[in-house]
Amino acid sequence: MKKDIIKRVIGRSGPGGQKDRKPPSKTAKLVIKTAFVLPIILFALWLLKLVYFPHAEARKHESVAKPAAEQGIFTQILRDDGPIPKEHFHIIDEHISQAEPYHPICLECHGSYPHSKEKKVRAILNFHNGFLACMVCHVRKKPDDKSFSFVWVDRQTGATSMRVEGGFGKYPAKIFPIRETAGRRLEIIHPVDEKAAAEFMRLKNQFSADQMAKAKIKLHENISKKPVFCNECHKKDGYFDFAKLGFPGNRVDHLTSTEITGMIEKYETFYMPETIDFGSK
Amino acid sequence: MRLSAFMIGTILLVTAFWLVAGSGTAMSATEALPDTENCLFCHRYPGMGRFDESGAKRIFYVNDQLFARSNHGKLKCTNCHVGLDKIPHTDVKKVDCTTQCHLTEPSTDREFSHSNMVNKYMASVHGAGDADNPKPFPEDLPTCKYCHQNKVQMPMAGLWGKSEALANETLSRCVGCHTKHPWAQNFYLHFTHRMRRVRSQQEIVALCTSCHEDSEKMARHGLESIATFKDTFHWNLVKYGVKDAPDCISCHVPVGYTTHDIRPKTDPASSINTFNRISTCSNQGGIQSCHPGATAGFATGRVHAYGTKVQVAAGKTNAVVEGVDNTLLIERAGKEMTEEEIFRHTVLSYIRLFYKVFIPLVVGFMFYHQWMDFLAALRRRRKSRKAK
Repeated sequence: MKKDIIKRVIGRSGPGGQKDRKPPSKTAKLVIKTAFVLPIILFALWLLKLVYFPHAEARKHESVAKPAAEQGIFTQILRDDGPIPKEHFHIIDEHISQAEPYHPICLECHGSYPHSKEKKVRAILNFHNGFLACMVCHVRKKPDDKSFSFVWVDRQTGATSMRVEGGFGKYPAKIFPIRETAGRRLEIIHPVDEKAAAEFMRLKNQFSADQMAKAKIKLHENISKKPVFCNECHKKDGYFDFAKLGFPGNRVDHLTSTEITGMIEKYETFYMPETIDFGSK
Repeated sequence: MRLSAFMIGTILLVTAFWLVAGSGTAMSATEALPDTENCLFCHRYPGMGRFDESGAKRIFYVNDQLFARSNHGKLKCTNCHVGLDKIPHTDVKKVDCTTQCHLTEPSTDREFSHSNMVNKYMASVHGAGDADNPKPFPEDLPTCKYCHQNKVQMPMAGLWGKSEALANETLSRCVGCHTKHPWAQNFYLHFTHRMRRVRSQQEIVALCTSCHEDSEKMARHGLESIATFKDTFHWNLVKYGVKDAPDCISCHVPVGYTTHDIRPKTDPASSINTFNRISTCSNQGGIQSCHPGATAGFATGRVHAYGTKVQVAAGKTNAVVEGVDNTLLIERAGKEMTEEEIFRHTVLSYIRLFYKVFIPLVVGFMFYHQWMDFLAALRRRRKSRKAK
């Protein structure tokens, strides 16, 4: 019976059949035969798995729920690293979870919440990270440097613009510092260039502790020792020109209003930025 | 003069149109509540957050539009987050769901609080117990946030067409007497949100198994992993997305019970206690009657396949199974497993053994037969070629 089927499939239908049809190649025959045998083998294997390893699937799920102590806290961290913590109560929207293909290279190491030292202000500094590239505050403009300015850079495409879209931290772009080069070309300022960062990431496991400290200093050599402080921007005629970046007048007034500057004063008693030192600690 | 009258008329007409249209759109996005405490001044920024001292990621961002449409949307932040009256926030207390949130609970006219639920929960199988009877390893037990997130209220839909049209029609009947439209809308959303389940069956199983499949955690409480549930017909219905498939709460919290008051099966108040099982299997009083003809014999059948518990009771395994210490489980097994159950398990083990031998023999023979047939076919073909 099976033989008949094979013959029919491969076209040898006997004396009354199409005699002029070209006989199939050896490979074609092998494929057809395998097609008959393979499902049987797979079925048998599946059956054996079902009989002898019935909890295989359940155990697959079980391994996910293994406690941290058993697998090591760092393995657990590796598994938990999603944009939203497991027991977060409030509803989260796409602003938290959306990917940001064009981002400052700093975030590759420092993460989305890079400020952690100053307890009172770290969350506030971190929310600025949502619309300011790190180098806005951590690469200080010299007072007389006319070539230095700021631009919006689209998070998805990297396209630059001087127009603001969205509002209150929900912008599709981030503000980056730019410099006008000799050929009047505008260039985004990257204090740590991608090549250097990639080389560091590639070699960091080979560094000794001292080499690592040296490498960190080298990597951050263009970072200002003293970052730009809150009240340098949040004031009239401050560090950068909000209106030039497309903010409407009422928003500029708000950003430089006493409502914000007054709050900064409250925080100032708790926090003044420290000088950053990447090597000595 | 005539022109200005025309203009005024037009403005009035347009204004009236927008007022009418606005009031008629019952399901339009609920306006975010006025942020009287000005928390959104900072907390509307999505990047607001940090890692806390334990290394946990803390997101402090709140989407005011979504919050306003959520179950807690009528509350002020400080109703739950007590001690946030200073900037910078220095004396923040952990949210306590038993706090009275200054919202009048309409059935009692008292200030609302979840204390009623929390008290039930504490006494339940998942609760940490009380000061006199604290449970061991309280850190293993789920807190409110483990299961509850502040969901956006989802009105009833699908039964009578589009939810928006349904809401418009229903609310137009309500607002005749209940003239405060936002109140009526909120009541409608709250009520219809509760008319359906928020989580799918698969989500419920995933939630429960996120703890109950952790064999170490279970062993600490004298329980066994419920991995054997994945062998059951009930799970297969859930797995393949069959409508109304039975998940954990279908049996452990049927009609008349609450998820916050799940009891151990030895407790007469438990839905899976022997005396309540017929009612549970048939889901009497529920929308869906699962096994309406359930008899006492049917209801004593096992839903979860036999696991470690019966094996330890029958003395077939040691206290340590796959690296997990089951001493507590052994204690419980001795008390809870009856002779009859051990006998059933033994019979089932023999049946299982029979099939473990029988199936490979059948499959093996089938393989052998196919292979021989294949070789015979080759031999016949070779012979016929030679004959030519």
